[in-house]
Amino acid sequence: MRLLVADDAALIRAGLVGLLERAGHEVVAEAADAPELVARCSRLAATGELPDLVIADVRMPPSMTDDGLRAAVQLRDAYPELPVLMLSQYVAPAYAATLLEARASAGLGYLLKERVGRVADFLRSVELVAAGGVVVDPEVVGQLLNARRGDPVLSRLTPRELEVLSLMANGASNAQIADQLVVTQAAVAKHVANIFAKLDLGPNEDNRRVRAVLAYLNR
Amino acid sequence: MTTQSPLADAEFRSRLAAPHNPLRMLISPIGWRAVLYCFTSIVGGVLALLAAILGVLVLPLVTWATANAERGRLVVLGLPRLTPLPRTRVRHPWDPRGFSDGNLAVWGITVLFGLVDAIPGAALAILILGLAYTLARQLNAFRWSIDIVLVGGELAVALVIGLYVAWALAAAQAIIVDIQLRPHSELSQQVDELTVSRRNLVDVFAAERRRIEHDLHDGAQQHLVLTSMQLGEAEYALGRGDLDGARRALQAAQGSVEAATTSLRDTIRGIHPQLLTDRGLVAAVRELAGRQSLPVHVEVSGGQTPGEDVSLAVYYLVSEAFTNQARHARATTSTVRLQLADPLVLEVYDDGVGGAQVRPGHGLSGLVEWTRALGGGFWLSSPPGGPTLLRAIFPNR
Repeated sequence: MRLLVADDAALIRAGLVGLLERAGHEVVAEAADAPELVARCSRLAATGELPDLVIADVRMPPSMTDDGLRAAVQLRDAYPELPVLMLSQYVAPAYAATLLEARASAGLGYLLKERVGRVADFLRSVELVAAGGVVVDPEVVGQLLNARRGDPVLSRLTPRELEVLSLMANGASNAQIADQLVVTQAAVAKHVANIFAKLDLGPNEDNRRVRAVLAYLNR
Repeated sequence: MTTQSPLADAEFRSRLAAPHNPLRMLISPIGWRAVLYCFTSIVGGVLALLAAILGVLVLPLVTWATANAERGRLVVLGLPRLTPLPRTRVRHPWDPRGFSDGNLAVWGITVLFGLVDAIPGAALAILILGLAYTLARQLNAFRWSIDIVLVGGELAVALVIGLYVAWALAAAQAIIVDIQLRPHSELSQQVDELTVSRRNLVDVFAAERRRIEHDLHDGAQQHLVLTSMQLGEAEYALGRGDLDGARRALQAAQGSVEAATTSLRDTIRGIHPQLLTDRGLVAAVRELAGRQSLPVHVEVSGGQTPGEDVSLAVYYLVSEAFTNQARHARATTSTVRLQLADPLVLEVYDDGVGGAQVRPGHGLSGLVEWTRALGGGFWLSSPPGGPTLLRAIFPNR
């Protein structure tokens, strides 16, 4: 895959690029701040070589707040087909909501930076987002669920269904959920159907169901 | 609790002083200011009396308003306006607080002086106007005689006497009003200053927290994230049977953890230097000096150990001075002088290019606030071209 990596910390950027290259990906451009990220993207877009995925830090210069995030929203508005994976030292549902609000339907990821350390999982997330999936950090999902404690609809879910729900929100497939919870895929499918019925959400294919769940939790 | 500084008193007296030469009194501003002041005193005194008679039920409001007018009327004499205490603002017309803070006494003074000023004022006004009328008639008649000189002389003498009388009455009233109202006014100014300095201190704390957050984010956290990535890579490499790759990744991870520890140590030293707690200010300042790339002379005199709060402030002042030297001064040598007495005196000198400033929101300005909060004083002399001398004193009891 052809990737664009943006992070203001040169150490982390080099580490990330090295890791991705050793995993067989090609890093076609790097950026050290938000304006550079946007500029590199539009330069690539101009020659019709938009990367397969942008990986960017939320907190970057110039203002060292959420410049990276705002650049990502801008990119998703400009190039709706461009998948974006945001990394951050600190995650909050508010930022995830901002990303999900953009009208683009391309893949989207929002992960704590240290998840990169679980290299195999991280590489899987990279593939998933590039393929149009949505991956949101378990931390965000946990905070969303926590904020909605006492919600009459959520309290109808069994503890097991809640577990499945948060794994699902993280972008795990039925097979991965079955793996983690040590149950059969058929059992997972049943849980998922129950969750969607209880939350009053229509039937959903794999890639869309994360959006549905997050949209529900963010409501 | 309020003390009138001798300087303020001297300033006050010098502004009220009248010239000794009677002819200069005719052209000096204070004489004519005094006439205007006395005239407004008469009007104000009569109004204050009438207001009190007609508005006897709202007497607190009358005395409060009178005192406020008197605070402002000092401007007529070229004196600064006095600020009222915030709490003297009356809530309703019969609020008894309208009497407090010298207001009632000032009302009495206003009425008294208004009536007293009216007697010589009227007499002198009649005399001067009469003389002026006579003089004008004689001048109009074009009959040059000794009378014109006499009347002119009498008019000049009457004017000078009038100016001196007006000056004496005005100065007396202003001094009594000042004695009554200034203590409350100075209290009010101190309250304002304290409010500002407390807000500044809160800003200092907020800035300090942001600095620590930045230090942790840019330092230890980055290295730890990198460590996690490198460990992940080692595991990934092992999974593929790539032992060399795994070893390289593990070595890199070890380096990152060491970097994280170093960075954490720096951050912690920035929050509270361990040496300062264990060995005291002098040792901590010497250690700080030793870590500069510039040669630093540390000169210590006296042996009165400062308290923990003063020590910390001095340490940070020295630290900030060094930071600024390293960044901007282009100095070849630096000297820290520390006089451990009461007051404690700190001087940091460098022979660099100068031009240092205390800019709001920057490191030094927070430390200046801190110094003031501890009852100390701060001076910075840094002309363009240098040298730079930073001086701070702290009460050290």
